[in-house]
Amino acid sequence: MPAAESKHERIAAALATLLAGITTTELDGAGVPKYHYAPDAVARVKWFDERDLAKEYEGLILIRADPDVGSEEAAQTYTQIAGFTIVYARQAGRAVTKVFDQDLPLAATVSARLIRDMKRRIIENYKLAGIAENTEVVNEQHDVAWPGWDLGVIEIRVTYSWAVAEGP
Amino acid sequence: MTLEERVDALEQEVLALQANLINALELVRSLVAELPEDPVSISEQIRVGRAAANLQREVLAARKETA
Repeated sequence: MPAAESKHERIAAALATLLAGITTTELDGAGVPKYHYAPDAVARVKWFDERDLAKEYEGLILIRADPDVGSEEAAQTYTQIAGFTIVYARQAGRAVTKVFDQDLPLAATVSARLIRDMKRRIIENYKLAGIAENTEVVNEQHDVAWPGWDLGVIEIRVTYSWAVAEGP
Repeated sequence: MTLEERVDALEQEVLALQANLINALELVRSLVAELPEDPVSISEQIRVGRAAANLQREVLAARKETA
């Protein structure tokens, strides 16, 4: 039997699975769709490379791990906070570089929707299938742009703990 | 056509060509001016945005302290 993956690795994988589950068919309690768009693919990347914005995908989520900090909170028990930056890209079908582009929906509106979709999905599942203690969205960037794409960017912090006996 | 007349005609032709050349150069300049600049990478945009957000946080914290 192989060694267990680290909690950090399991958190990153759970995050990818969670975001891949964003659909336009899921309804809230009032019968209204929870999300605006569904991503075609979710990928974990080491860095954001614009070439990853492949034309065969209309919507693409890229997850990058940020530094992970931790400390020993109690004897033999560590608490760590893992950071992730997540880029949700969606093909715009128009030139987003035009400052006063009034084609609807506006690039700014799509960015806000992409961010809302991610935030809602994460906050409603903040324990990441029980691996994490908490997940917070600490930053959201509405002003990131790339020609031909609408982008929403968030940064999250995932708090988790592990005991020496079980391993990090 | 006298030699003088031919020189005058050639001069007019040169002036016309110069005018065309200037027009063409201006057209090229205007096209180049419309080209978008190389976009800043997504990573760089995020880095700058994060720095701005951190600065905003510091400002908010300072306001709270002084309130």
